[in-house]
Amino acid sequence: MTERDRNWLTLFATGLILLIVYPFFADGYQLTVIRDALIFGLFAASLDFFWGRTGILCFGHAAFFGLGGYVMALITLNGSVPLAGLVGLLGAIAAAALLAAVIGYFLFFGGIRGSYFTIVTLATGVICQQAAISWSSVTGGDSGLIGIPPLEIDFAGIRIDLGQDLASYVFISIIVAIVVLLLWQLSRGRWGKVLTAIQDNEVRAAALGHNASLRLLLTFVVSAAIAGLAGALYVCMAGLIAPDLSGLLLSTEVTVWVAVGGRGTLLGPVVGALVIQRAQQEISSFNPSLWPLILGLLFIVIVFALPDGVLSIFSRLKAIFRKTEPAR
Amino acid sequence: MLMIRGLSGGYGALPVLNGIDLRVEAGEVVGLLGRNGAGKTTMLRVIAGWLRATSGSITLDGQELIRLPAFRRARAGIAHVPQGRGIFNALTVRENLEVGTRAASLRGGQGIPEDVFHYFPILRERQGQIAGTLSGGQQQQLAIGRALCGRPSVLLLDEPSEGIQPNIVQSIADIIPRIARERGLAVVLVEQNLDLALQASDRCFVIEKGKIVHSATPAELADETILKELLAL
Repeated sequence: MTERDRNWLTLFATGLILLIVYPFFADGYQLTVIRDALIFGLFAASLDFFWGRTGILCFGHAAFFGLGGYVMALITLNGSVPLAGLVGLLGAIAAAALLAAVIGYFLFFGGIRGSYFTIVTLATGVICQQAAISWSSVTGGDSGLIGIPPLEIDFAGIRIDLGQDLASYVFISIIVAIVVLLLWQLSRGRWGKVLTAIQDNEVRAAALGHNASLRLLLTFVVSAAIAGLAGALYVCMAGLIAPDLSGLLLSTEVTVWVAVGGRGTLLGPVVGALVIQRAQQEISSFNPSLWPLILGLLFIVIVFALPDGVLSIFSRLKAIFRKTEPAR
Repeated sequence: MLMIRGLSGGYGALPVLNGIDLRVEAGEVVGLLGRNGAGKTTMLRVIAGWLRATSGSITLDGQELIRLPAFRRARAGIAHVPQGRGIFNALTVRENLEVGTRAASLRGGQGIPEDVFHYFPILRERQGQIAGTLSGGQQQQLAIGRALCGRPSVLLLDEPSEGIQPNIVQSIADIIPRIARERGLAVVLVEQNLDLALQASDRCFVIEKGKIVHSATPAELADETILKELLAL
């Protein structure tokens, strides 16, 4: 285990402890705020798993989040589907994965990389948002779908009712922790090494026997599937879904969360999502028009001053202290 | 045994190779000589599947490779060490070698072959070091070592001496024929450094305008008048 791995695990454990302690100090409303922010944190981690490991930016990631949300909403509102909660979650994951597989297949095997990939995914996001608005008989159009019941899973004798604030907070915390840990395992292992190699020099990776296009496609599918899961969880908690949950603004925001938190760290983007959403609420409460300005400014500052994200401040400080330490 | 017949191809509409015929036996080193732009590097890239062939055939122990993408050729046993080495800078030496084992996995090869460290002891010493911080010569050794991790039957070497200090060039010149013999590897060596090429090769071919125009033994080419005539130096 490297020093980097140990640091990551320490940070992960610290976050976990904070999540466990928080309910003792917070009221129900505060719990739901953190819970919803955590879902967006999961969404940010899903983007980071792809962007951070491959260096290719998907600028339409909200399409997968929104698709997952709509699938979940339609299945649970239908009323005739047995085990609607569980089927909804699985359906959301499958739908997002399928969409990513179709788009990704043509892009990756067609040799599309870099900024061209970013542009096509951006267009995909715009199309998905427009589809959600225009296909109003199914999606409810501009106003979206409301009245989505809280998640209730009743399977093999286990009953989870997530109508309660604390129960839903605990449930989301556990899901986010498990998924982030799994993604981390995947990216520090052989899978991640090969992705780093492909990012560095794809032709060389192929010359060593790696099917680079397939590897990128699978990574994209996993990333989209988790975004779909996050979308599905969000609509059950919020009780509604609207077209802007698959739109360009959310795609931009998730990109900022990842950039601010630190690309390629998985935990950083979760922290980034939590902190920025918190800041957004604070700032919007006294002047709503100020937020987009500050968000844009923050993004520029991060890109120039801390390209590895806010968490890199610690390693930077460490490096500075090491330098200023007198030579022995 | 690598068998190439009537191979043509190059960069899209710009053909560089015009019908190459070449046969390389297991355990032998074949040197390719020629002036700049003759098509040496292109030929290695077409064999590796990096560039497309327009016609001809490439067979490895009877298996036709010409239609396969690069990663399948690697899995079939073709290893290519390009100019500039193509080390994964962000990975450690060991991780570079591990990424290199994929080509062998379908043929039952597991892990890093022990003799890689035997040929290049520096790689064992530097296992944990980030590969981007190695010197040019060490990177070249890593590139060759990584290619061997795929347990190939053909090794294509493009200018292994480029930008490397002289004592390492000498050790590479010694090690190439040794690896070929001990592992039964068919080696195709493209090299501007004539001393290295003549020292390491069993047979040499002169390539000009995408065609092989002459074949000779290194001993024959050691005669400067013949060499001057062939390479128009």
